[in-house]
Amino acid sequence: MTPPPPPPPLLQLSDVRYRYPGAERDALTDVSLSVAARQFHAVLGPNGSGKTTLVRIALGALTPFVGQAAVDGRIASTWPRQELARLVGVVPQREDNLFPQRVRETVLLGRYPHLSLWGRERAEDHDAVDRALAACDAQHLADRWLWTLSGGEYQRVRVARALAQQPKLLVLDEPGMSLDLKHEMGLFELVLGLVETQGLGVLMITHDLNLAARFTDSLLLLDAGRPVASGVPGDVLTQQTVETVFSWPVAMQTVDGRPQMIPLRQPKESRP
Amino acid sequence: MARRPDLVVLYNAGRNVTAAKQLERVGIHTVLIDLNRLEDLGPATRTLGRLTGFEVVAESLATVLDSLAGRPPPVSTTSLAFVVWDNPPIIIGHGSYLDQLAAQAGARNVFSDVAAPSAQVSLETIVARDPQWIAVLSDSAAPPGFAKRREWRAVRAVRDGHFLLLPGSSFGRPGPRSGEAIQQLRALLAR
Amino acid sequence: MRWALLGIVAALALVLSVVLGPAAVPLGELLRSDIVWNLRAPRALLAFLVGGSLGVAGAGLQALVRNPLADPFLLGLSGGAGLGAVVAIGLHLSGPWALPIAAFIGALAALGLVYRLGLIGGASLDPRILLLGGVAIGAFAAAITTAIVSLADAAELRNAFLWLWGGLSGASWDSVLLVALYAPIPLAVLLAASRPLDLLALGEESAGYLGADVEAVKRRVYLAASLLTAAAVAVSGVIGFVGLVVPHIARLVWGHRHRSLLPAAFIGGGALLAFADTLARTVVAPRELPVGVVTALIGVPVFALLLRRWTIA
Repeated sequence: MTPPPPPPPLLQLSDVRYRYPGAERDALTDVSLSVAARQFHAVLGPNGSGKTTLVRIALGALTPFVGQAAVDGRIASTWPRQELARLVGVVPQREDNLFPQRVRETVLLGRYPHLSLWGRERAEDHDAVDRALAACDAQHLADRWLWTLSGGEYQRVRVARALAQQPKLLVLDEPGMSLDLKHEMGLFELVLGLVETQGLGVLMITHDLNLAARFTDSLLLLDAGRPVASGVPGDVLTQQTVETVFSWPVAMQTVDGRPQMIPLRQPKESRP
Repeated sequence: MARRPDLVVLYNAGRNVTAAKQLERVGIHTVLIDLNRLEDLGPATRTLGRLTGFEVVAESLATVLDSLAGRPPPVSTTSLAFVVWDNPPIIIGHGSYLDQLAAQAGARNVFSDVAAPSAQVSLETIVARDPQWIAVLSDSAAPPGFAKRREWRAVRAVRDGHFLLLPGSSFGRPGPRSGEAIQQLRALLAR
Repeated sequence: MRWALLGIVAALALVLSVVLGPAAVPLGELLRSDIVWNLRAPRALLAFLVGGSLGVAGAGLQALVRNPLADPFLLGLSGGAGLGAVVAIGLHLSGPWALPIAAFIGALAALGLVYRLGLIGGASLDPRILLLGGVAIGAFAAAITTAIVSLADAAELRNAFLWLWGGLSGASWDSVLLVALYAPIPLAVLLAASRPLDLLALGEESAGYLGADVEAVKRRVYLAASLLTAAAVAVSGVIGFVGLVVPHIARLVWGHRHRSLLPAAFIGGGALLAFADTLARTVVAPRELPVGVVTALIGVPVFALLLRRWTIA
């Protein structure tokens, strides 16, 4: 008896090309990516390199001109929204919560993909909320109003909401932006913990090279929509590659077996 | 202004006051006339007579018109309400021209306790006061549109079709035909 | 507990509407009174239905355009309705239902225009453009209406404005039946959109990622809220503040879950309008105030209080 085929990767982009209507150049060209369960994958690149476009294509919000994006073996844009939300939890870059809410209520919104049109929330939904809050170390925040939370706490709550969806894949778009050191470290530790304990696959867009290098299993480095390098952090983040993509001189060091980059100061004469 | 009339006569109200001032400034003789009630007819006639040089004729007409206003009203034998608009119901109250005509024609305006010349009232008030006639300003012979509306049929006069259809030309505003208007009204009420 | 309280308030408002009025009807004769059965009862019910519809439409709209200051009458519908009414009067269209039908058609025309404007960015309905478009179309229609009225002779045309502010004078069992048959459909559509509306509060992108079919929801909510408002204007003119203030008061007690907010807004809106109409009929008896004035007089101080709470909280 032949062994069953391996499960498809949670997320797979194959040679994707996309251009926004009316744009001069492609937002993404020949981009490929694969995220499986228990994998922590990051996408890096300077501003405008196409990172957010990649997320949109990955989730079927945009359809690539060339190539395809597939979630769990199915073309991303063909997934019904509610079904997709049961598989993929997303923490987008921006959230503009209009009305004041308590933490527990906002995390409960993550259960909506599992609720029928007229059905009420069940005990299992509230349990899922409690578990999600616990996993994010945010149970003590459950009854707080959102506006009273610090940036770091709010970010944890948003991750908890995505977790409440009970997804297999977690997608985070620049989650560490505007967080201070302690909270950003805390966030990366949290996400790595979820990968290890809950077996999630994670795709994270970030601009923080060093943290991405420390925590992730594989990286994709983009520059102006093109893939420059992909693979384990040690292979991707070489001095030459980083200096070329980010147009700045750096020195590389190794911490915990992972490359870390130190930006160098330009001498006065050669400063632009 | 291009026609350069000898005299401009304006109804005394609102924007006409400003218009009058502007015309005077340009050198056109303008006069504002009050013409709201029967009592205004005499003085208005005299003013016009004076300005146009027909004073004697005007005086005799004015005397007749004064008597119209001055006559004590007969005892009222019937009741009515003037409905100027149906949604919302707007009635004519005390002291307006139509109210005076009604009194002179021997009909009691059920809303003569309302101090304003016109006012919005609830339909149920009309029903409760149960006027025998509903008077509307209308140039057609057909009953008004609201007669078919279900809520208006709560009013007995509407159910019975007791409408007084008063043409706008004689009943809209006091004028030399006011005397005729009163006769017309009396005749309609006698039906 | 709070539902019971709301129920009591609503019942009280309805009872007062039937018991109180400028025509003195002694309590003993209430059940036999013509005035009560043919005028006050349908009027109370119509007030409840219209007020409730405006409350729900307002709540839905505020969630859709993500603006807590949205009022159903920002959609441009009242301008369209006024223009329809003026055209009907100007053309001397007869018939007892000429004015409401013309107003409804005018409102629908405005709705169509604003919807078309809202799609201007592509296939996606842009709520900000809906708001701006609504204000613009409403103002445009109002300008045309004013032009027609000032150029034309008939004093009747000026009465079109009275009608627009008019209120519930046209209430009868006929109009109650009409609204009772019409309103449940858009109301049901809005109620069914409760969960997506909750998600929409996080923003369209986030709502989509949490499973909402955002485009379909926006279209449905906009059309349902507009259809409710169009019917309200056609039947009772422009009654402001109910759609703006009632959802806020309901949120203070029931929070933001539209599943409970929408029904609360319906009952609350209905009670408020029934109560306001009773005041309109009784405070200056035998005269009557336009109910839109009463709702503004009640609504503005309540709104100011809410704003204070909002900024302090």
